[in-house]
Amino acid sequence: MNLMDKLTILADAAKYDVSCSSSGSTRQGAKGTLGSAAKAGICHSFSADGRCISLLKILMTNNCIYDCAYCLNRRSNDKPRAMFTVEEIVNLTMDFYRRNYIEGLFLSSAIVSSPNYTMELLVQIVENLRYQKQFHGYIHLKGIPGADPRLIQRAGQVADRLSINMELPSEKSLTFLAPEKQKQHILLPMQQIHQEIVQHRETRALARKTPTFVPAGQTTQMIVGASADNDLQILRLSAALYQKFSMKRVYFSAYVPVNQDSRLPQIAQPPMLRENRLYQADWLMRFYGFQAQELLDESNPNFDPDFDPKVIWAIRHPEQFPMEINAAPYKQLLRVPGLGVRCVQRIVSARKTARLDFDDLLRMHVSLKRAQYFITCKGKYYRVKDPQPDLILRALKPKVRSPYQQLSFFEEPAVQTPQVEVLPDQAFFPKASANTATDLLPVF
Amino acid sequence: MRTYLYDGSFDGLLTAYFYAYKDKDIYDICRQTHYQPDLLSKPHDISTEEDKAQRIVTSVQQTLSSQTMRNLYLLYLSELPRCDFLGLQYLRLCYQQGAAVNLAKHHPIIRQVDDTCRKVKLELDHMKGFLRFQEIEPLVFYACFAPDHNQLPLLQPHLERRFSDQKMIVFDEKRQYALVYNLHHSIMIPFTQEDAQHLLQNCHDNCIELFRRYFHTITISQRSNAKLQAGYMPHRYRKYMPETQPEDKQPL
Repeated sequence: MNLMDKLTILADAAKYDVSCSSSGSTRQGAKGTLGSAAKAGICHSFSADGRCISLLKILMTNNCIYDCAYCLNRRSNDKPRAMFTVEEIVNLTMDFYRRNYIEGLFLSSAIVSSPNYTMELLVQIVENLRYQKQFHGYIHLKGIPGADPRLIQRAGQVADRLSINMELPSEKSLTFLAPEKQKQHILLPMQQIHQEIVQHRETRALARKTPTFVPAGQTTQMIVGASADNDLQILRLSAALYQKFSMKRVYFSAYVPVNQDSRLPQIAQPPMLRENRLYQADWLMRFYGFQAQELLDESNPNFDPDFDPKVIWAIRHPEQFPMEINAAPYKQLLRVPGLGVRCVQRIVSARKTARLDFDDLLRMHVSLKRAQYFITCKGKYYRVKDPQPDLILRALKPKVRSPYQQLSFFEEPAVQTPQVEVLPDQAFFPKASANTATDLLPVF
Repeated sequence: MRTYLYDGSFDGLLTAYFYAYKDKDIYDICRQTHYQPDLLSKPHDISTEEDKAQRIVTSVQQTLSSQTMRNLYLLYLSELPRCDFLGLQYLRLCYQQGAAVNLAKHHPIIRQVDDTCRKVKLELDHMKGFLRFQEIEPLVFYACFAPDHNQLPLLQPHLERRFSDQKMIVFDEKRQYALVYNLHHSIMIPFTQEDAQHLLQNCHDNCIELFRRYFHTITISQRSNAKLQAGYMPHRYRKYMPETQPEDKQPL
């Protein structure tokens, strides 16, 4: 099998991994060596689905011993299998990097033979790049669940970012869809990486020359829509991951039906809107100071498909609004629907020099589409008088094309009966599976 | 009314600012090469004086801020219509009001300056990613691009830091000059299409095919979204990116 075929098979097998960011690391090489990392990350290309191509995202092999229901590479699938050698990956990375095609390497793998054997091979590849080739580009390495802690530690010394995929947002779903995986094998290495990062940071504060350990932090990924878990469960779990393991990111990937399996839901399209809402909530938690319980609770366990989480939060808290642009503190302004971090920074900066009115806001490129219902300038609303929640929701509801159409005088009208979508009553789980939560991450 | 003409260098522009600052009868500042005579104004040539330029740099950095100086430089690199005159208005405003006027994001001049600088910085981020090298000899690489704004001076430190062990020629097709890096330091030289063709004679880079295949394989077809892709990767840059071009097309 030549290199082109291998690349095709193993890039195709890796494409459902969402993470492709190359930010967070400031690795620099000495003059005469190749590579540097950019703090904010660099996107090198964008594929036809609109996702960025920043890293060379490949599997070492797609030859797997596991049989997880949702996975393209499970052993029961009849797919061509391939495996890269160490030299092939190293040369491919260096060649692509020299041509500025990529920002670095994203290396993952199916589990071949055993978790330890696989992890050992992955670490060897990255060590070869770093030590033999003196490569200082960005490297994102997947931790294999169940690998030895010593291997995870070796990986952390050479990689910029480590990630271990959660894949499913509850233990129930995990045992149902991926019976060979165990939750301890996912959570324990996460905890180990977190502890070592903290330890290294403390040491580096005392001795600057301490080598780095996972400078860009760890991330994880969850599949949305492959199991019956609701948004509340997913959001709570990600909040716990941010808090407990100081994750840099939790990625959500809308479930793409790649396998035929009775345990999986039958869907025509990946649930992209749900994924989008989860990301919006994720941003609200990371950059806007929101808590998970403010966005969803037991009575509202799922996001509204029509409105973003911030609008819904604002509608439920009329006592906080309207906010006066010239007086509200920065953290409060961040909670106004339609105002983002950049906008609020501009407002806070400008109001040091003058009292602002709506013309000033428009001049600063502040979009008033949503914000107009929640803010006042110098005590006055913009256009609206006293916005009530039902009015706001009616105004902000996404426009849908009318189902009615003008009849033609000359043509026979095609009579269409509206189709009501009936969701199949799916039994996702066997009934008697008790959730045995441990102390490590009670949400999971 | 006068139009100040400078030689196209940043020092030349600063010299023009030096003389134009107190001129109430100024109409515009522009490069000699870009000048179009008009009915209203008379051309006024400025010869570059390094000491005058240096006086402006020192004064701006000491009495205003180095961020102001950086903004002036980005305005100069933007090469947008009347950006040089905007720079003069900005300079006058800053000296009248103090550097704190940069906080007034609603001020018309500050807003224009911020918008222009943001355009340049955004394109710089794009170019750091979208620039494509091809190997013309072992460890000698050539890239060609045509950014909207003059990006090579801003890209230079990034490229030197990142590819410090490979020789490079980066050709700005729109402005007909190139950055040449010889492992020790880099210089800017005039460069033409013919030079580029001469360099690219019978060289073939196998990695292009590999990357093109990778680019098409990594797409999830169920999530196809050409509009989103076009928003992130504008069509005008794609001419220079081999992965987006059909297979039989030779890279530029």
